[in-house]
Amino acid sequence: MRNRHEIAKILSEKVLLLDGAYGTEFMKLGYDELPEELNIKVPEVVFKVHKTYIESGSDVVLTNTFGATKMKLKKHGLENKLDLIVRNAVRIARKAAGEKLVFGDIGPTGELPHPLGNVLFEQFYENFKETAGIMVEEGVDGIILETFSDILELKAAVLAVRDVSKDVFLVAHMTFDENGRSLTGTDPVNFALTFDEMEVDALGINCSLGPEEILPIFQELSQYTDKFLVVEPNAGKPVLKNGKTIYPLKPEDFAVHIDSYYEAGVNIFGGCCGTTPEHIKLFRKVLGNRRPLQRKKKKILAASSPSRLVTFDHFVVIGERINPAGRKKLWRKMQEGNVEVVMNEAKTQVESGAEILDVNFGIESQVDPIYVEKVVQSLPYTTNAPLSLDVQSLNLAEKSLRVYPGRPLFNSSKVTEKELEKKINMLKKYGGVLIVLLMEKDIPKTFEERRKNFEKALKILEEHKFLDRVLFDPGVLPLGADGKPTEVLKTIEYISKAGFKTTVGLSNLSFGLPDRSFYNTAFLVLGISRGLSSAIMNPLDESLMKTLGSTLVILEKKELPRAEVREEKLVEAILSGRKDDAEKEVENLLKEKDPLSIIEEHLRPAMEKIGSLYDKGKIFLPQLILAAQTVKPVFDKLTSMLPAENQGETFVIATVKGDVHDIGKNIVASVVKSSGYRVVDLGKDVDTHRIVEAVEKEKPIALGLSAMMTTTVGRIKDVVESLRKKGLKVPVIVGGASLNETLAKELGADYYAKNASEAVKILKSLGR
Amino acid sequence: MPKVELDPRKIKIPGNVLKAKLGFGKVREIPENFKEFVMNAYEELLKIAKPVVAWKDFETGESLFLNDVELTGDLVEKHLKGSRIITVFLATLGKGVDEKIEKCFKKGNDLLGFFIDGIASEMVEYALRKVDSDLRTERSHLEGSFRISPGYGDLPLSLNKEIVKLFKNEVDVDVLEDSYVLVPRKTITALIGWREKHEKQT
Repeated sequence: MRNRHEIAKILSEKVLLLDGAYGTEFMKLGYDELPEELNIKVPEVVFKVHKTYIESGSDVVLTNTFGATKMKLKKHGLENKLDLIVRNAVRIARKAAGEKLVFGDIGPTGELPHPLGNVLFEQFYENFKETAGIMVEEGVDGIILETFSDILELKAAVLAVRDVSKDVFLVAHMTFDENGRSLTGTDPVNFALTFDEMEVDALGINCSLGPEEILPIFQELSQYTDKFLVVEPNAGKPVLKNGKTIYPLKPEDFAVHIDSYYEAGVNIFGGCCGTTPEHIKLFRKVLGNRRPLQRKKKKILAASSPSRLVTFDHFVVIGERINPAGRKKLWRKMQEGNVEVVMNEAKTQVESGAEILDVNFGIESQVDPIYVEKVVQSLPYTTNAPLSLDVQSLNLAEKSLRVYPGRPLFNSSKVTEKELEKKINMLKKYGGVLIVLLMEKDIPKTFEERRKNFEKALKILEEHKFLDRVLFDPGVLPLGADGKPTEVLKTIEYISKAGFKTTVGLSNLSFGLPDRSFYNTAFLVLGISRGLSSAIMNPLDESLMKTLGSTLVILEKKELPRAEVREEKLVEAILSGRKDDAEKEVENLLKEKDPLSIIEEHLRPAMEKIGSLYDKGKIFLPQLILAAQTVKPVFDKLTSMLPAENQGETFVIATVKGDVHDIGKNIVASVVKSSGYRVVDLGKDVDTHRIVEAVEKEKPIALGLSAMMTTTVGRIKDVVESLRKKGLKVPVIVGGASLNETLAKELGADYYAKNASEAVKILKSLGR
Repeated sequence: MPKVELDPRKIKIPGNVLKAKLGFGKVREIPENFKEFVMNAYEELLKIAKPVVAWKDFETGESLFLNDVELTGDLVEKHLKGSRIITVFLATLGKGVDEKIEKCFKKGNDLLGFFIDGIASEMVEYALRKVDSDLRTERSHLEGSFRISPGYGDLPLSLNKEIVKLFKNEVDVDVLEDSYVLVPRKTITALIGWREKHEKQT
């Protein structure tokens, strides 16, 4: 058996190849019973399939134990044979693999967690622990958790394996559908964040889809983790033929995707359903002995439920109302073990705008721990909102973190080395983001005391490599008890300027005061203006929530909500490429209006609206191009009816000398033209003197220059200098793949337009 | 000097790659009302694309030379150092594609031109990938490096001039003076280094 560090070393030097499917291979050999049973019935057949994969070039074989857990075997009346099935499986695989690696394969139970199904976390945990224990005893090199479609079941399996062995190499896989979601709604970013911080060695994706469909999901996953990456796609999407499931992808059609996976950073490549030794043989040849590519992880601060990831890149409302303090009825229901009352409270808060829910169980010794577990496990599934676990007793805190499906906030830790260390270690084991409360024994009153605690916390967090996973709470004291909120505001500003996110328990401020909502609202506004990034607050307080919305708009942290604008007929026709309809609409307008009015009042606003939809990402580039193409003849017809002086301002455009890549320039010319300008397109690879001549002759409102290559951007400078020498003061707008705002300015251009729509906006600002 | 003319119908471009290249962003599928436009562009491209991939091996020693030009820089150091052989590739779809795209824009068929341009960019890339992949299969006794191209990192675009010279009798491709841009536009060049394989016991 090789330990996880030895395997990590191998993986840092070479991309490894897994084996292919087993079930379909057994069937080919005439065995269509439960695959795991073959380990005890006909071990020689299992051996033969392993051996074929090793001979085809696999570096790793998986034991024939995908369904070998007690919960799953029970469905076949084989639960008493678990030990024998798993032991035999490892021994057969080891014998076939020789010096190659053997990974114990564990699949999901086929059951859903409570409340979607009936299973609680610990039942999953025990189930996986038993199988993993036998595998480790028998000396597997690693364990792969495959085809998991629920985040909590996978978490139970991960913790179970790690509790069995600290040394075994552990791979955690999820399975996604074509929309990039697991069965219970997890996306690859959430998957990465939840497991990246746990003691897993590799993350990956297998089954359900073919290599082409999994690729974008895998690419997304690869950006948010620095764990090793594993992938095992199916041999295409299964098709039913003559009552049989066929996996259609031939080895050569599958292998064409290996380069893309390699470029996305794969460390172990293999095949799932439908892949055969023939596939593996070709994979081996294509993969060769490549070294893995280095990746850099994107860092985001976020909490998650199974189906929702809430990032702190915007202001986050954390609902405070699941807290029995001062709420006798809620407290009584909690003591009675009533989950429904909490569910209803959660639902109302989410409907009112809470993105995360703070959960506090009051006097914890008086609440049944099973009740706490049920609430913590169920709420994220039923409300989709991640939780902030405000649990004081260490035992209950650990239990809550353990059964939490996803990545919670943990509220909170004081700034003492002992407490921080304990809580960091817990979160490293179970995952989560820590709220650090800037107090030692008592909440400080002054900014200076808070700053001191903040600096102390930073030092400890840095030592434990935990700085990326924290929110800081300066601690708000009641105003009525000389709470000095200005000192808190100073602290928020200080922490925000240091680049960290903050939160506050907002309602503490107004404790004991009349008109609490006004005080809370005022403080929230002031806090946000100083950088406050979230608050534990009451989302049912309408005036507080409305003021929050308008504050974020005023501070440009949120877009101004606009009423849905009715799509005009003309916009619809242009966007859909229905030229005849657009022409007909204009014909109708011509009965009442003159051509110039139609251009000014209808066509231009229509194109502006389309441009704005494109800017907001509501339509795609092909739609913008199609719109431009559709409207151009209509514009041409109308402008031909106008006297020369009204035919629109002129725009000259060219791709500079040395550059023949003119697709971008063509699109800009087309969109500008469709916005009512007269466009003089000089073409591509155009000499500087020709451009200057055209400017002299046409006297355009602006000159557009396109340069795509690093070797051609310098030509822009030549053109600008030649224009200046001749005293031609035309504004120069530039664009192209190698350009940016800074470089454009360095080259002497007046404007940089990153796309056609921006070019139109610049022209508009220059002219009409 | 090996050269293959590929049947453009046999060059497989993954759907998700095409979707992104054609400007459909992060949607899972090309929207229904655009599928026909894309298919049409594909068919048009298939009529005119003549994918050709040519390549040449260079044996190397301590220093890495391509004819008389020494290959240097961080990218070369990272991917080609220690190679016994360097293979230089040139892949193109031919002049017909440029002409077709130009014609589309002149006639006001902007979207068709844009789609043909996008699909062609990927087609030439995947033509090269196909040959790259076949070579790795043939040379499974050697370890092929990451494929790099002039213009990546610090590998100068001027190398295009040398590469075009190498293949001038085989493939109808030019390089523009000063800017080193390749004509026809749907042309790419690349290099792969081949090292002796040191099988690691796993």
